Amino acid sequence: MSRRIQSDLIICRDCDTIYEYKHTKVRQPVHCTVCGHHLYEKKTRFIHRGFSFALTALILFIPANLFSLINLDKVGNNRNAVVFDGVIDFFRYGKVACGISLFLFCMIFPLIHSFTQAYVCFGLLYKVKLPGMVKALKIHQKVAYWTMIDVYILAFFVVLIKLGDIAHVKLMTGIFFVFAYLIASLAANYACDNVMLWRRLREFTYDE
Amino acid sequence: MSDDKTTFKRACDHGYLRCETCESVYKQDDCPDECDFCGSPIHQRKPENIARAWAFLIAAAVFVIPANIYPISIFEALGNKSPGTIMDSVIYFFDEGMYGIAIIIGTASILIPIAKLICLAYLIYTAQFGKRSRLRHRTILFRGVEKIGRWSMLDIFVVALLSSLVQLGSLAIIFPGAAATSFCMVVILTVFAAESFDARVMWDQGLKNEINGGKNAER
Ligand SMILES: [Zn+2]
Ligand SMILES: [Zn+2]
Repeated sequence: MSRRIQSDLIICRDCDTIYEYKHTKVRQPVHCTVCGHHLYEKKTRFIHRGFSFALTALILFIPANLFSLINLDKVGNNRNAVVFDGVIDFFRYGKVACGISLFLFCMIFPLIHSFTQAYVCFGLLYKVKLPGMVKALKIHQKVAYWTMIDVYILAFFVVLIKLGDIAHVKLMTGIFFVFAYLIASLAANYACDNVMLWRRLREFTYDE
Repeated sequence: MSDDKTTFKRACDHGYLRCETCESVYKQDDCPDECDFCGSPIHQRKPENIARAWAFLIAAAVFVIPANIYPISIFEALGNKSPGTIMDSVIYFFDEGMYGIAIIIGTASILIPIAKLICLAYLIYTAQFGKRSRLRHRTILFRGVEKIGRWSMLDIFVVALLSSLVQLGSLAIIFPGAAATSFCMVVILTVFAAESFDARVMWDQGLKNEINGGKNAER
């Protein structure tokens, strides 16, 4: 139990203005009146939704990385592509920094991002005190910026159009899973407000 | 305008501190070194924020040059190598009449990294020397710079996809060129620069000057 934390106060990240935390209605975002920073927003059943979408994303992540995205066939040569092929190619041509970035940003971090969210939301939803929930949420928040599946999808379209006139490009099953994964993870992000998640986790840790 | 800005309660003036990770608020005289709840170190401001931001920014600026001079991908067909820089691929799409993609690639890989460097340099400079104009706009600019940074990885992913797809034996292959690593470094280093910069510093300096400036004007 920490009595030192002033749980009725909230301070703006960008301009250091103090606000009193007010219990707002759902879908009423609170902004900083000085700098306009989004302070917090209570969202409809956010733990429930956060858990469902994160779990969906987690499940979809497996087929998204197993099946190939597109198939390029030209002169009898077939080549499939999954995210991991790109990593291997970067390593093969000695671009280690790029290989590691791709591997982290498009495979490891998205996985950690969805997993930690599902983990924390599961604990809060079913009122189970799982070990390392605080640490999991910390990692979730750190990794959020570096999950770049959305950027990867855009790159994928650029490539699709670039290759479209050179070779015959066939869309494969993998792309649908990647899309579904992207939508689920975006929905998971949208469902939860980090400030509210921290607040709920703190109440859960201290009050019970 | 200056009147209502100064009436807002700022945490640093009223003796409150905030955990940057979990948003817990502490009283200054009763504040632990590490957050009771999440264990992250608590600082009044991010440590050495201006110096760190400059360091990362300058490092990123150095990498911009090789990233744009050297080829980012090399297309090899029947033994002939044709290297292409980032600019080449933008020009290629323009010539092909695919303006949409030309604009997307040009924005993500040339415009955004350079605009980010300039904006960050401007933000750090103005914070360091306590400029007090357009504080709100500068904060919005900072948030924009933070948000947009990750999209610059686009070109790296394009090269990754191309090189893993176009492997037609000895007929034609595409492989990443020397610029790829530099480009990657530019993106990562500018993100680090933005991350080590603390937006509150410009409000500290700006508001202090504003109050002093106001008093001087009254006299
Ligand atoms: Zn603010
Ligand atoms: Zn904390």
